[in-house]
Amino acid sequence: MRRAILAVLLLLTLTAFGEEPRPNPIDAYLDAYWERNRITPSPAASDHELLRRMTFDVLGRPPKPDEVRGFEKSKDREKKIDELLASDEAAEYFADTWMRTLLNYRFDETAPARMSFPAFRSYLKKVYADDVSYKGFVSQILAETGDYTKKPAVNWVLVTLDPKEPPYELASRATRIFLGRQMQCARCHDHPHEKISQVAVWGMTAFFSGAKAKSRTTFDGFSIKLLDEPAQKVKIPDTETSVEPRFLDGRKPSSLESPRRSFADFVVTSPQFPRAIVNRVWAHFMGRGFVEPLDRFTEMSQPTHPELLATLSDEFVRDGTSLRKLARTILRSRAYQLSSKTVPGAPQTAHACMALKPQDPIQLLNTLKWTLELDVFLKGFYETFIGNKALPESYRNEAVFGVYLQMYAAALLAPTGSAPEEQRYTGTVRLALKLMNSNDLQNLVKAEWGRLKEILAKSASPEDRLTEIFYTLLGRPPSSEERDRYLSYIEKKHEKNAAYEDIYWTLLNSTELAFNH
Amino acid sequence: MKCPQCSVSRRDFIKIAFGAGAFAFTPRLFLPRLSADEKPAKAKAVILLWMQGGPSQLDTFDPKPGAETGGPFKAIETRIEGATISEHLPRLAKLGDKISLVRTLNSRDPNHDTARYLLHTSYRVDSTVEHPHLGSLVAKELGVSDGGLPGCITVGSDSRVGSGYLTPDYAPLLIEKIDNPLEDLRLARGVNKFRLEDRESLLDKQNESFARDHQDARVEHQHEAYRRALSLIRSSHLKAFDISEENDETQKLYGSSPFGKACLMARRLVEEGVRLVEVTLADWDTHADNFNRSKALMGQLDAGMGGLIDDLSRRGSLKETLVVCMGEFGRTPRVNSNNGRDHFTRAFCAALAGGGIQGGLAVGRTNDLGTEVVERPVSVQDLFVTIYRQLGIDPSKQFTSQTGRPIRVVDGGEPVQELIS
Repeated sequence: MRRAILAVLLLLTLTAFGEEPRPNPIDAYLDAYWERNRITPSPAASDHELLRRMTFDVLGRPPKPDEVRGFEKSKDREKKIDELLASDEAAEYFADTWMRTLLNYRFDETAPARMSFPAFRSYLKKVYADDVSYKGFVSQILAETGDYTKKPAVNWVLVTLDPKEPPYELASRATRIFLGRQMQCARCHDHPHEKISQVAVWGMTAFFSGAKAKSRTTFDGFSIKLLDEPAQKVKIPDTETSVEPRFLDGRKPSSLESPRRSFADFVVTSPQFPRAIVNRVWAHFMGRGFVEPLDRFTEMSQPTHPELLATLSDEFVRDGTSLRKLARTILRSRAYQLSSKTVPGAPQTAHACMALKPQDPIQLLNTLKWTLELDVFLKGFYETFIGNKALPESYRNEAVFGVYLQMYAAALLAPTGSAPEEQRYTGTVRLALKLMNSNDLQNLVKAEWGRLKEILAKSASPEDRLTEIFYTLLGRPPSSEERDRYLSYIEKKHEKNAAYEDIYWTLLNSTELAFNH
Repeated sequence: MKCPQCSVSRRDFIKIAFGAGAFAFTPRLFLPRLSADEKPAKAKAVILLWMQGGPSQLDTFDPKPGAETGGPFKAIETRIEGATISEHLPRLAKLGDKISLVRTLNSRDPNHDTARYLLHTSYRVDSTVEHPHLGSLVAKELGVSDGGLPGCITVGSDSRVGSGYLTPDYAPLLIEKIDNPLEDLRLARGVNKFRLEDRESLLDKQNESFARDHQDARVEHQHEAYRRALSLIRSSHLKAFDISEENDETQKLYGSSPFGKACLMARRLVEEGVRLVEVTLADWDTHADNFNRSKALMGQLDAGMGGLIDDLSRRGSLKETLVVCMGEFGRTPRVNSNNGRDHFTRAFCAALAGGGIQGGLAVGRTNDLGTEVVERPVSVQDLFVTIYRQLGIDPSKQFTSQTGRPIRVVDGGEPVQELIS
């Protein structure tokens, strides 16, 4: 009886809040998990730590001092989460992140001529801004037909399509990104550890056999159209076998009229579809996926928290596959809001503290843009890029320029040939040299330049100046120990401006800045 | 070839699936590994001349004058047995007793980025494992002197291949500008060594509390990268980058192009203990105007590579320095409507010299049009096995990938016996 009353009360309390009757499934699961495993999680993150983390994760940049001060006053975490998720900058970061995931791997010098970068980037921004369902987004990317500027979703297939090769790469990339599964092994032979056969791989490839790019020059310019023609058989290389479109599980599509549409339907209705994206989004925010690497779901893979993955996937589907709602659930969880201070003895997989996340190339660029006003510095370079008549028309736009910059940043972080969306910071000497010693950047760590110049102009008090430098670079005030150390450094130095430059340099090169923690 | 994902030989699957008879053309693969071990490894370092873009084999090292695919260039006699090369490589032609050609390299990868990865690692791009740059592996296996220069340096262009599954300290150090190699190594303007010391101690102090609170290998990697960067800035070996220390006569030997200068820099770096220096000559991607562009590039290649071989041999260090010249693939025998040639992977060339490589040979033969290999195909893995063998590195040695998978230096491949002197 008492229990029933409690239940009713609970229900009433929950419905009183209206729209949010469900408790956070992450908290429910992890609280019990920690208790069961006798783990005491890290304390909650401070407001400063949390704001910097959320700003990096949602907007892809560090927070600015006025934003930090605003949050110090309001302290309203839920309101801040909603604000960040609804902002235009979140759409920009979403677009850049998906450009990276979808395109970079195949990015070569001919890419800008085979697709429209500006149209595709605007499309991705709109997907986020309109909170288009993930299911709808992926269906469009895979199955859309039409002109590359009027139906910009076609650009991914356009740029991944290789006219000289069977469209294996499209099937393989789609399976990897959207289902988190690898087909590479079975390209050449039946997969030994998995139920993916060679025939299944080429059967998946055959769905893209009707993807045809038609380019033509009209009186108002150049246009490329992507068609979805009826599928053909695809020959397995080095064999005499040809295969018709067949799904990974061996089923045949009911119709071969628009094979990419059938492929898209298979992908978005697969039970693996929500799991793969939940894993990807979880890894983005929590620094570690349930399954790692992200595309290593196999019949035998053991997610770190299978129950939680299942719960979040179910909820994601119930919420109409809204990426924004999924992000919100994670951002509001206790685990996300824990301090990053290491909990001795707890494995990383326990999420008992926030994982350190190295900055991705977009975040690194944005950090440099903000702290060093790299924008202003790059403007000259940008203008020669856009205005360079020797470059083909398709290169001379902001979106391509942005990708070049990102590739540059990616090379600084971790020069590697593997899929760039999973590039991890490996501590490169080249980045260290650039940040601490290159004339390019050192010319920007000057009392007469940019942010530091503003800070020195605003106040004459060493303490105010020091505080502002900390807010600008690390999104927090100095600790009392740091304050004393730097104030005595300033005091000791003859050249005051040089002392501030040294401090600015120090924070710019610090480990704390290098990581989103 | 083994599947990089799961270490199951592709051949095994083919045999199971189709019977060995269907693949009777691969008997070479079934021969027991020939023993090349009696011949000791001689090379201590590699200079990789990287021809970015994919040079046209028919216009450089495998000319077919008179054939409809041959193009306008003449072929000239060389000191390589029975082989001619393009008239625009006259110095290399005369050095032919020191150089050998492989004319039947082949792959199946026509994309620049992925083929470049293949020709730097001997592995196909694989999103589940990062393979190290050839030079990173050489540095790791042969060792790098303490406090010296990094074991692997790339000059002029980023190969976008890193240290892979090795620790980051073996990552290639990129020198972006040939004309200004010390751009990031020389102290920045306005910073003298005392100021740098001040900054370093501020930074060490600043990093202390973060490192205390965050026990993570990546924090240690970050500190290590800074330590190495600082020791490079302070290194007494930086003069190796300064080619103006060479006399005029030596400088002239390499020609005046940036590529030639970088070749000279590479020689100096190798003498300073660097294990592999990669020098890039870019712009071989001649989809249009192939012949004029190739001719101009050959002028630079002939002087740079010719100068390098001459210089190494008169200094007596050619026998321990392996020079390898190659690109990511070749170009189509067919000339397209823009007077260009497109990507071609069925047959392309590498030129090797020094490091115990037998000179004066042309390995492999293509048909009269250059469209197919007719004799002695050489795989990318074969070439890498040969290179590692010359350095005394066991190509079958196993490492462990980031995800814990065992992975060999090279997967498969046989040494090109003819080349081993």
